[in-house]
Amino acid sequence: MTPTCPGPVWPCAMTGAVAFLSGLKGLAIVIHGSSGCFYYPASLVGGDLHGTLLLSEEVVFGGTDRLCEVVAPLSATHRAVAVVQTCAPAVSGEDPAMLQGDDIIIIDSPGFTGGFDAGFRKAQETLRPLFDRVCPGVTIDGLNPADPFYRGNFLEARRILESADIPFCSAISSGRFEASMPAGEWSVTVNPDLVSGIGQPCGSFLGFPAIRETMRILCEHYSPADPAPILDEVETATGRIAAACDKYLRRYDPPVAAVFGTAGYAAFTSTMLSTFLDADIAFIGLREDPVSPFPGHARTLTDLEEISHVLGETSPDLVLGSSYERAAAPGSAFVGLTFPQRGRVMIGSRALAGTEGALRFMDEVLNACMDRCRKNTGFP
Amino acid sequence: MPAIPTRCDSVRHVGCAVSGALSVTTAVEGAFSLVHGPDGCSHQFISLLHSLQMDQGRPGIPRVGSSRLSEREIIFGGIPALSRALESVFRHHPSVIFIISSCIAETIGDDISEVVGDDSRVPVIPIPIGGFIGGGFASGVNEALIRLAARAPAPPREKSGVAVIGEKNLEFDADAQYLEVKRLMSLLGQSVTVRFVRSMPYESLVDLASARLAVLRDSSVQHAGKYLSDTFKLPSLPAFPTGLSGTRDFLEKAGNLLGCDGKAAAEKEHELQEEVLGSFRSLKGKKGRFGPIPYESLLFAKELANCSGIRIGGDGPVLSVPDPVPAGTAGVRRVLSHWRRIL
Repeated sequence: MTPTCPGPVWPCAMTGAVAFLSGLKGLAIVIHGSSGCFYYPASLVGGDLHGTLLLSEEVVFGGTDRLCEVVAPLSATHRAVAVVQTCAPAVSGEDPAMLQGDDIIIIDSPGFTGGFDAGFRKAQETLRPLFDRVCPGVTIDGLNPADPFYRGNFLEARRILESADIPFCSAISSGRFEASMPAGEWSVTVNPDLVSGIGQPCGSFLGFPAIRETMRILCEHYSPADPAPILDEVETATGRIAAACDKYLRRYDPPVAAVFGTAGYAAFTSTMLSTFLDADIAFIGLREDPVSPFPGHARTLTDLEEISHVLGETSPDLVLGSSYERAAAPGSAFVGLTFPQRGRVMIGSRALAGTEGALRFMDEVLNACMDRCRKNTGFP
Repeated sequence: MPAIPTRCDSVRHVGCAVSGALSVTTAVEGAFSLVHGPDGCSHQFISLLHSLQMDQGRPGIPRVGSSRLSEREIIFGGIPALSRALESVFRHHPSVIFIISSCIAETIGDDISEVVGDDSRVPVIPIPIGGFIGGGFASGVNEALIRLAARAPAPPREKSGVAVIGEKNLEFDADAQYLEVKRLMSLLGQSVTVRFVRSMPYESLVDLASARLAVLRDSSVQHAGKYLSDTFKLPSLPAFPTGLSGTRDFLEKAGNLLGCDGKAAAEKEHELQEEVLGSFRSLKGKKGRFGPIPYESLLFAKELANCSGIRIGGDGPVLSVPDPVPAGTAGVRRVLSHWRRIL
């Protein structure tokens, strides 16, 4: 780790915990900290979010009374209240666990304990015991409410399950909060970085090989299930992408690409680019240390200055990433892969997972690359 | 945002002093701002500034770094991490380095001034604000302005020019507000010699010390204004002008403080205001109402409605006023234009 991080592009653990919790309706989330700490996650994920909005004297003399003052009325109107610790109260000797009640959940993930992913996983772990109502069907896992593909991935995963006659059970993190929440016997993830461990994992819907393998495993467990419609879809989608990329490559050279994002998304997209578009993947920058070995060369990089340097060195034709990378490489074609996506309207439900996610992703890549080539050459 | 209302609600919503300080320090050209805290604290401000820059269509990379406090430093102390971070910042060849302390640094008792030695490579300015422990956003702004102003050289015997103090760098139309003040100063034959601080080179501190008049953005930077007045004997106007009569008063007061004919400038401005009102004749007799707006904004809105002949009643569309109220006669024109579209 470098001594300083000029321009950190990845939020803190507290924000990650809030993001996970914000997917659960009926759960009040209290950020135990100052208004400065409250505003950022409020702008990033929203949700039923509240704050103790601590004052300096409450750090000196203790903020427990203030925490009780905020939690008590919420406890009366919500199924449960989750309290997320921030840095200052976490080290000032306060113990929020003194709050009484089965409906109070304490998430101990102050900002200094790590990045967004660390806090997200901490909240996952803390809530895992509540997913104790085992039900038939599949849990869709890996949904991150801060992700630009949150809703799109959920809808696409449900569609795939329905097409194969496989029952859907629940989604994490999405749906209603209850003291005892449904957990599918089996689970599939739309993002391999964020597997919660709820339900027996059957694989991922990210990328064609993963979809095929996951459908094979799922259909072993659900005997009336029929994988044929989805396997046909995968074949058709593969053909359509291959045809579109072949057409592109008749006119243009394969792009040099730089990919920035979380490990699962970066692995999927870089594989798509090299497989179908013969792209030269010049650099892969990960937002966090990958949970499992990354298939290929990649480096964890959350420092905007270093990211800019890499982009300057590699001069990619195509950049996948957030609006930070977009700002740092204004001459490159850009496709959004991770948050934030400032300066762009994204109100529709876009998927990255599933066949539709793969098709949409390649649509965006090809259009962005063609627009850039047209602009650079002046040819229509 | 459904935060729980309390008896001291407004005090609780004041934001973070680190962001306030950064809104000033990142506006010094070539500066590097180092936050002594976890990466997340710097990220919050970078995200805010990035969002604003994308909104304004001027993408850029803020020079803000972090000393990367983690659990280890929280237990054993963060000063060694800050020293290492500071040393690495010199490699970026900044014009000046600001060190800003976060709430966690303050809570564990780190004293950021410990790392500021006699190094003459580049000025290093500590801003020991301690996140929200040192106050809210405005406290951070004032502290940064004062710490930076303290580095200005002694004022020369001959003074000249006007200093604009405490522009809101996160305001969408900050430059439009400034241009109006600049125009008004030109009516008095004066030029703005320093924007303290917006796109300001560090060397321009000399212009701050030598200014004849300070124009504060608004009352939120009054502490910085008082410091300038006490230190440099710099007279000041407390806020950018708003409204028709407010703009003329501003010119007269500025004229008095600068020893020039403010009355003549105000009369000239009055002529322009008549012309502006004339171009909104179609508003006369139209009916509108005001929503819940701050008292200052209400005074501004009432004057505009009165001068343009708009009838204020219980029904009709709501006539909104931007917050903060846009400066000068140009601001009046912008608001009337907005109202015309509504009515």
